[in-house]
Amino acid sequence: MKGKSIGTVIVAEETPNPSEFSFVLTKSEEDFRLQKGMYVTIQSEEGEIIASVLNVFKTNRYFSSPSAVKAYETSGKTLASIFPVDSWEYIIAQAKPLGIFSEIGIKRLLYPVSPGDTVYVPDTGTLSKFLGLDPENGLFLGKIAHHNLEVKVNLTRFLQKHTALLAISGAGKSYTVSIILEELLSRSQEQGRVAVILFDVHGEYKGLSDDSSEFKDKIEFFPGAFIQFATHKLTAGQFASFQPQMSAVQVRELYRILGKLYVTNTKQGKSYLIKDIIEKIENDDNINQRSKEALIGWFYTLESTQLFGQVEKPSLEDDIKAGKLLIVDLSDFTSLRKKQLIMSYFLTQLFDLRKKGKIPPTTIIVEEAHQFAPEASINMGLSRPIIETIAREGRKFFISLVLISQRPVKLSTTALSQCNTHVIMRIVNPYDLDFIGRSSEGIDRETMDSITTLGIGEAIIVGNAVNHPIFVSIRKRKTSALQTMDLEESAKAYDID
Amino acid sequence: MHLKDKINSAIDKISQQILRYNEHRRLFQNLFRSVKNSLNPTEFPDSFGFKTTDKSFVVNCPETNIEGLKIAGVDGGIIHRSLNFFDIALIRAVGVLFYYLPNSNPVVRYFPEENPFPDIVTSIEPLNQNEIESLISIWRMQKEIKCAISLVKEDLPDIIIIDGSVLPYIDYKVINHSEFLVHQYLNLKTLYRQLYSLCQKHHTSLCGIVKDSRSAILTEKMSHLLPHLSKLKEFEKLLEIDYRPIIRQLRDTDLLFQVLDQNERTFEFYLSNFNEKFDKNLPDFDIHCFYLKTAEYDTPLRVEFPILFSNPQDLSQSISALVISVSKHNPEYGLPSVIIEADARARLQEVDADILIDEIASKIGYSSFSLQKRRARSPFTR
Ligand SMILES: Nc1ncnc2c1ncn2[C@@H]1O[C@H](COP(=O)(O)OP(=O)(O)OP(=O)(O)O)[C@@H](O)[C@H]1O
Ligand SMILES: [Mg+2]
Repeated sequence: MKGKSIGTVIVAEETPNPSEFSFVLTKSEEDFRLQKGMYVTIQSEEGEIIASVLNVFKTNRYFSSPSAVKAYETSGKTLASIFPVDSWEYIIAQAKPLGIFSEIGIKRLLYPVSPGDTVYVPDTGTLSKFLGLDPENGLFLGKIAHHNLEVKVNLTRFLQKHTALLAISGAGKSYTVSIILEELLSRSQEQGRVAVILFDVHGEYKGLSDDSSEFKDKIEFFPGAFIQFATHKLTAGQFASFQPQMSAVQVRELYRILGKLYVTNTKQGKSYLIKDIIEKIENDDNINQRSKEALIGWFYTLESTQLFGQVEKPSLEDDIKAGKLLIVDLSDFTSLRKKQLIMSYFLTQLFDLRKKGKIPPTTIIVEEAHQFAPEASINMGLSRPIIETIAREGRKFFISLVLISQRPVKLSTTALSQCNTHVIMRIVNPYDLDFIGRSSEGIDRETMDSITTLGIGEAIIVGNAVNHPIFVSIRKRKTSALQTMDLEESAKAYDID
Repeated sequence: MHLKDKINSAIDKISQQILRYNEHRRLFQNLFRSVKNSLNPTEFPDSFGFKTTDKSFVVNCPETNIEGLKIAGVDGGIIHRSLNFFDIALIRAVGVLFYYLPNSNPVVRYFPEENPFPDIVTSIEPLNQNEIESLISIWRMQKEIKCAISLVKEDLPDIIIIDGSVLPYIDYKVINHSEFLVHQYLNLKTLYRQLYSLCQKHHTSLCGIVKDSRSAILTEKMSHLLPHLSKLKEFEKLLEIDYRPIIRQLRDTDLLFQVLDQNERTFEFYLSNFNEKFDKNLPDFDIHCFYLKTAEYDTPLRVEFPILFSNPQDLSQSISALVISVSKHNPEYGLPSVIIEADARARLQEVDADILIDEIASKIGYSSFSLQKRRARSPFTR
């Protein structure tokens, strides 16, 4: 189906060709606000050719020669008083065909449209299908600005193969996350619900669970002060990942020690603590003295984090529930290492539980992902291996990641390359831009160019979730604002206290 | 001689010729410039056929206020494709009318409309190249004059300016072998007569404007007259050289570019009359013309007009004033605005024509015309 006709395909510099055409806006439609990024359609025998507008410009033959304009204006009169200049203004658009849409699916266009073809505005239903959206059950993230088309992305396409949300600070990443959360929490059983866990680095998501929030019953906000690991759930390998200097021999020894503790404690239904491990090491005769001292030293440092206890808090098995959100507040921690420890512990447990089918399909949202899975090897994050593992293997077990970062260059390429959907908001740093150009599949030159011009709350979605890159104005939230303050508010709050 | 020497000597020869031509041209330019106000064309012997009433070689044009006036222009566009025995052309003409109101931009109207769909005309007459070219010109003029007629009927302009000659310039010797062509030509003349009568009836000034750098209408007439002018002291110097071949080389605009200043015209003079020998009993019209300089750095325009009412001198003054008023804004480009606009509206794009003509061709079972056109070029050029 087509909407109203707005223009006609013209011949211009080697076009129309299969990858580009130009059209002139019909005179009577000049009030139609044709804009860059809009979609247009042309009827063909095989179906509807959908194209996106790359550029819009105006021409006017009376103003196309600077010297002539200048010469006429030496007479002291305006060109408009000498010629009917207004009627020579034409609006011309360059458009790029994206494909032919018909009942049998979407095909690539291999031949040019014809000069003289009429150009229409596509109707939103067609457009929605063409772009691969899911108007019935999708996550409502916002609108395609120029078409008043609701962007509802299919849950499976959006999350199963992980998503990265990339933008400079202040572009609206966290806001967009809260939209995604609202959508995930609003789903009915029939639509399919996932469990969600979010690591709140700045404590900005607390507002979601306010008393006034319609989602408050579905959200568990877990304060950082109460976080605790169940020490007995940690394997030698995991301890080793906390302490990369550990040698293979030392890991083997630790494995043996933990094996003993398993027999004496875990199997008897008793938990144990770090100090129990230290004691077992001290009393073990088989470990050489150097290793003993090293291991004990490391375990003392771990104990000093005060994160290792008897029981797991929050308890993943209890708090990870379909259609529910668990927010783990990390904002009170100043030590990055501690935050990485927490991330590592919980993600490892989550993956394990999910593999055993003990928790529902889960989405893990990681703010400041470049801190938890940094690319740089010198500052190898403790949590990077598990994030990379989930990025690689999570798909098979329906455990998916949403990685959020303002510095994509610093984010593990392994993790990022497994994110098949990118939600890109405003980015200005040329290194990050270049990096995104290389790491986002299906992103074209024109789309790249517009990333720097995106405003707050505007995003480009590329990759698996959509058939073509789309520009979305992220919708307004239903819940109260995020807990962010501007400088003025913050200064007042401090002063008045 | 080496090739290089041959080239050098050829270049020398050509440069010499150009230098000499420039020198002679300057001689005539200076000469006529010095007598432009004193030379009195009414004193030229009648036998030279100037039929003028202007008393000086160069005349100052009056200024005029165009507020409240309607000034119209007409131009045509044509694209022609030829197969062995089949000619097809797209033709259209557009009339524009600028209505000047006080304190505002001109109100513009188009005839028949802003962007008229072209006529598609075809001929299967067996014509040679010259005949085809004449046919195309006739077709185009028919379209233009029809357009002008409807414009005058509908909107009564004060003046209507036609791009090109105000006469149907067709070489009768070229067309008189083809009955078809003669018929088309006579039809065209009838249209011209209709236009003239209509303008006569409504007192609409009519002129054609020729931006032409090749004709030697005036210099040719002057070359015959010159011997009779040698008694003037300014012309004495001429007697020292053999000036006749030189002035015959000179084109009108070449001479006049330096003689006329802006807002000046030459004296008006008889160009031709409308009727030809075979037109015996039909109403005839005298056509006069003058050269007019509308822009400081552009060549003068030839303005041709039939004497439909009033007298040649008054007509020259009013027509030149009106033409200047719409042509004076660009010191480098002196065509009237109405003609610039009409030309832009009437012009046909080659590509549009290719598309349309290919479509027709495919309907009637020809392979692509535009392809044919490409093939027609030498196989060695790209
Ligand atoms: N779609 C939107 N509609 C309205 N306001 C928005 C939208 N997106 C973001 N904002 C506003 O822009 C500001 C910055 O948004 P946000 O905190 O989400 O940015 P961010 O990208 O997460 O920044 P940082 O990297 O510093 O965490 C906030 O005040 C937020 O309310
Ligand atoms: Mg944020």
